Amino acid sequence: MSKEKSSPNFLKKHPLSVGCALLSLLLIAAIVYRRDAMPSTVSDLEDKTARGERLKANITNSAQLTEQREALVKTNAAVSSRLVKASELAKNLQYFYRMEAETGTKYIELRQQASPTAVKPGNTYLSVPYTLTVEGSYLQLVTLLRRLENGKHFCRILNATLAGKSTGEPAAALDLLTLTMNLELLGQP
Amino acid sequence: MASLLKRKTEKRHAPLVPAWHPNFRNFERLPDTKAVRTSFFVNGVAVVIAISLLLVFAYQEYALYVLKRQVTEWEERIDRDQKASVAAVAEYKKFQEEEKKVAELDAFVASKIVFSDMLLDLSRTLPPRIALQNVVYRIDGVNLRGVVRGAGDRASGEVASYVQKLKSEPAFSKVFDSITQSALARESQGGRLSFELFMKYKSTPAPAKKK
Repeated sequence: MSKEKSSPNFLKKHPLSVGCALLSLLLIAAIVYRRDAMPSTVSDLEDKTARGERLKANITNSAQLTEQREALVKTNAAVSSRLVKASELAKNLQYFYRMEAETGTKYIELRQQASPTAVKPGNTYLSVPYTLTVEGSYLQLVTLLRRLENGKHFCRILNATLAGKSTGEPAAALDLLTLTMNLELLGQP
Repeated sequence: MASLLKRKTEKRHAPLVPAWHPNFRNFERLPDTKAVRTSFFVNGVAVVIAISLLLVFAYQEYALYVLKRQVTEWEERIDRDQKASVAAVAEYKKFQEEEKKVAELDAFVASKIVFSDMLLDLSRTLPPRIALQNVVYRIDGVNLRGVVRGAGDRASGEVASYVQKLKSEPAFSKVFDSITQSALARESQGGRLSFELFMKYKSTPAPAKKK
């Protein structure tokens, strides 16, 4: 009975303290409740920042991308015009025979080897392999090699053997030499 | 003087008994007579705690507000940049497709040496008394076979000089890791010495690289 009477008395005697205590309790509850929102907001901000910066970088880095792509498209179009078609056997051999006529060399053997009928997945081009054995003077053979290396079609020599038919005297440069090569032309099916 | 001393002795020996009258004072109703009242401290502490908590709450809310405002700003930027970024990514994919073709071409034509250039360099550096009979261009290097005229001691010396010359030639030294003499033999006819050299590439060449 005395306690019931003392509570209102205490409230009346210390209204400010009681009010502050109640306010403090409310504030503690609010702080605890709202504190949970902080990590998720920070995480959200980090995600948004990363994404925003990535998008900004995409735009910044693509400033001249269109021009660069167009330049590459033009380059690749030019490359495409220099490809051989593996299926066009006669036309391909004609390329070599024209060189034979222009350089004065003599082909002993020229053979287009079997090449894959389709491009490997992820690739654009395929290699069309050839075996070529040619006879000629040193200068004729070097001229032929130059034409192959810098010719219309892209060519790479896998291996080659240059052998003299002469007795090996120092004047052999004027003699006939034999060049045997395995080479590839860049092509498409 | 003596009486004073006597009184003191009596007082000391007086029995300690509780006060004879009851204490009717009601302490709860009596006013607080301290210089600074207890309620002041209680109120002060309560107010300080409340204000501190209020400040903490306000700071926390302000921090949340700032974060949310930043989130909103980034969302606006994302909305604004999204379309352009998607277009840029699509453009980049097209660029990569074209770039892949160029890389494939580059891998195809990449070579340690240009065979015709190497033949010209070999002929340029060939000593007068030496003739090459065979040049083999392989994936791991180049093999040279030739003959040198002259007696054995002089001819072998010329081969050694030729090897040194090839090693010191910039066109070869930048491509080949080593130039070694793999064979040296006297030929039965003509007083000549045949030799064989192997020029090994600095690393595995890439011409045969296929994807």
